[in-house]
Amino acid sequence: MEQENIEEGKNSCLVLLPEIWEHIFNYLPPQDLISVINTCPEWSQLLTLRKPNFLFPMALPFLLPYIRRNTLLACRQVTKNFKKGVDSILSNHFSNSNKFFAYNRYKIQPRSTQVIERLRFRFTFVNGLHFIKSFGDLHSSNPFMTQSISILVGRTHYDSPSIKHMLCLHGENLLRLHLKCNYPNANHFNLNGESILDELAALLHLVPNLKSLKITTIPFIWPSTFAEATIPHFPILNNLEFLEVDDNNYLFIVKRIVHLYGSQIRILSCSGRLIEGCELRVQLPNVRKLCVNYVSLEALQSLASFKKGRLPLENIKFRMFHESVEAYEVLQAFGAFSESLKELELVCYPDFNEVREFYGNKSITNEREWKCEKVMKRLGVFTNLKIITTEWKIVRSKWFIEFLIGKCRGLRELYLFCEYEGVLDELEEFKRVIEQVGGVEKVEWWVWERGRFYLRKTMMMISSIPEVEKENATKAEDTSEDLELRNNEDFSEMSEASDEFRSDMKTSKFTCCYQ
Amino acid sequence: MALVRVISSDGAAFLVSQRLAKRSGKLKTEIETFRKSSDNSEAQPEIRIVTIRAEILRLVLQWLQQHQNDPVLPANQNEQDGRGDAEMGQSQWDRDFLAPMDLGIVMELILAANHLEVKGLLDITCKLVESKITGRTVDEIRTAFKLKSDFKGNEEEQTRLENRWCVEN
Repeated sequence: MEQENIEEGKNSCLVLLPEIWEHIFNYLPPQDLISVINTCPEWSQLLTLRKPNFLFPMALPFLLPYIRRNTLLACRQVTKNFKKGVDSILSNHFSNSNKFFAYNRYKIQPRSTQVIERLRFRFTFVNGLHFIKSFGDLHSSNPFMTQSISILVGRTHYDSPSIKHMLCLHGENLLRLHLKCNYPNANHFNLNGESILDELAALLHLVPNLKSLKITTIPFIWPSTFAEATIPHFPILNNLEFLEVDDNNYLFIVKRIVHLYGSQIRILSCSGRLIEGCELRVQLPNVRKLCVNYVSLEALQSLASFKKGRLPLENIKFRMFHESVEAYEVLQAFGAFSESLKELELVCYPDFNEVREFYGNKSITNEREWKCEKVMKRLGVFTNLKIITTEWKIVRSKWFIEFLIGKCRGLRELYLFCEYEGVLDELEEFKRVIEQVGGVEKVEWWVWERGRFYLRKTMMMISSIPEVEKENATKAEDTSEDLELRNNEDFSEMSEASDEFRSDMKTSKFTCCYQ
Repeated sequence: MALVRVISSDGAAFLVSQRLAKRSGKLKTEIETFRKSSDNSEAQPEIRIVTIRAEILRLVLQWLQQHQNDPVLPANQNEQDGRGDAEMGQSQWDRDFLAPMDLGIVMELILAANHLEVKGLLDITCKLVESKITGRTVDEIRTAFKLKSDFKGNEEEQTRLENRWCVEN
């Protein structure tokens, strides 16, 4: 019946007066207005004048690389919709936790990112007074346009009451909070562990909608009374899902936070020591992306003790290893996640000596090889593993090659980081390895030079036959801040395929007919 | 010559040579998917684009035809250097092509070019919009976009203060 009705109605946009439709359209989100425009020419006509206004937020992500910071800010003043568009871009940039695991953070930042990044500094606070004063009595809307702030806690001129006042007024607008704890000498400040925890709890009470929390510290002398500190009351933060706690200096605090919020954390970046002592499955059952800094033997053992599938980690990132760590132990730690793992990152950067320690200089004894082989046999196939990011040196070691060929059937992309350019002479051999893995589509080599990585070589493969190989011969001649001018990737000689169809296209014809 | 039928959201069908259609990343993938799934290699692929209406699709195809001999630009170029392709200047044809357009249509073209993965078109349309906002006052931007301020009470003042906070030292 319904079907018939629709057919009978023919053109429903004529049923109501245009003014009424306009009124209805006022309530539609931009995405739906697009559908309206695309469905019916009459509606499209009706909306002509309002198109620039509501299409702007949708077009902005593409415009971003072309516009400057002041232009971007000026757009906020045009209309409410413009403002909404800009603010959603800013907030997404600063509170998007997925970016943390994207390999391309090594790449040169696009200009649009640099433009937005500069705003970060305007939202770093020691004192909140100036900020509040700048907005006069206007407390109604959200002055934290990035929805992300950093607070330097514990410094001599840290003005706790004014920060709290600021957060009281606007704290509910914040999605991301970075606490930089700096207690150069806690005893000097007459602080004990209790008061530091109190301070943190009090701040967290003021940001009820927090999604992502980062805590960093400057090393300091622990107050002697810390161990006996009583635990203050921490708030419920239902939206918190990303925790970034990388230092070891304040493990007590971190453990406390993990204890409180562990079950809702989906993305965790922490030090190896946290993993060692903590029963991940119980305390952090919903973690899907894990980054571990300073991976220790105990941390690996803790990960290896999982039964397959009990904690379906999708993303593992190991950054820097303790010197006692052996390759087979790393392999063993992956084992439990063979089915769920999608992305893997193993890096020792920036300390390349550690790489040598980890892979190179240790004499390869029979015992080590035997252990490696034993672990490898028990390891399942990583069917979902698509992307690996690691050091060139690790990739060339025997255990890793065996791992690649034997266990990574689904691998598509490989990103490799090298210490110096000389190593790129040894590519031929490696190409054969990649062919054996099968299915790899892209390999990139990044070389460390003057404090940052530069893309030097890209290998595009289609069905495991190297199709394009491109030397990125450009040297890092400019180390100035103006890095945005560099363009390492040059695809102008892209593929034979595109050349072929370019020449054929001269004969192509373009016809169109309306039905 | 192999053809492909591209159908817009409001049902208009365009017959385009596959060579030309493949200049769009999206259409290229769609054609390849069709080839894989169809047993008959001679069958004419039909692609429905539900997010683009006929008027816009026609413009995109027109632009593609004009630029069919240009080198293909990689879609991710902007990720690398963070800006449009400065060396690829706008041709007179492009300027004439865009000149009569309303900004609303240009915005629709941006979304369409992005959806169909036509890098060159995305580039010129974005540059056009950029030129309408860079270095202009808020009122000038409103005039260019034919908009009226819809801020109520002190909202505009508030926004101005927020912007000032971000730029002052």
